Amino acid sequence: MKYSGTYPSVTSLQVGATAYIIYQNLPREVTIDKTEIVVTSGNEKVKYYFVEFPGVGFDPANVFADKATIKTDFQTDVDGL
Amino acid sequence: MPVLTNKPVKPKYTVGDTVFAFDSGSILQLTIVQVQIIVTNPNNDSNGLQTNYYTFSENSLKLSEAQLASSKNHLLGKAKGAYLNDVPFESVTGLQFDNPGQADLACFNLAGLDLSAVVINANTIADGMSLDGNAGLPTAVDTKSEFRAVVKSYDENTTIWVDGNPIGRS
Repeated sequence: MKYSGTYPSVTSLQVGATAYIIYQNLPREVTIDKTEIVVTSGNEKVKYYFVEFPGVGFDPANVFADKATIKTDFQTDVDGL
Repeated sequence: MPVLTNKPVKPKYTVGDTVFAFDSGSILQLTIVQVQIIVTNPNNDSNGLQTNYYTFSENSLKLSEAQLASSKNHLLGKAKGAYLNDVPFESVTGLQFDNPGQADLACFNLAGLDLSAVVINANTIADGMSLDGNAGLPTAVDTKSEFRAVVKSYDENTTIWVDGNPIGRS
């Protein structure tokens, strides 16, 4: 009741930011449209939603701020982003 | 679309808090088990929009922060849209605000009073309470930060500090 507690944390990526994901086996450059954080006792779960794929939530483990992170497996495709 | 920063901010309530809400004219006492925080930016500005939803151990309701209150008096004051006491108190000499169950000062207008002799502590619920123009506060809680740290609950917008402005948040 005092705007305190461990959670939620500030998300590492923010609404409006550009991010990179692999979706349907292709690398994509996306814009974060919404973040959703669900806090229960002792933990929090974050989902990112994108302008390009409304309604599809992505775990932070699959969302990257730097396209170089996904470049290894998708060299040619990423260069074209 | 501008990139937001430092989102989400801490919701007012957290898991484990006891809160109050109306249900068909009665007051429900609820215990929070989950908080869902959604950040969007429908207006494409630098502030964005954060909405906090809460679920509870007692039922399957999912309520927004605006539907909840920190205490029964806080809930009544929100429903009334005004302070619970229509006439400001002239004196609170001898009153104590520190006993559980007797420290719900939410939505009371205590403007102008000398509170320097009363006890305000971790049982005190201060949401929607006005301290505007108070002639004195106990030294342990005579700054905004001290007051926020000591009381059980306050509201960043509706708890009014001695200077007439909202108390804000830490």
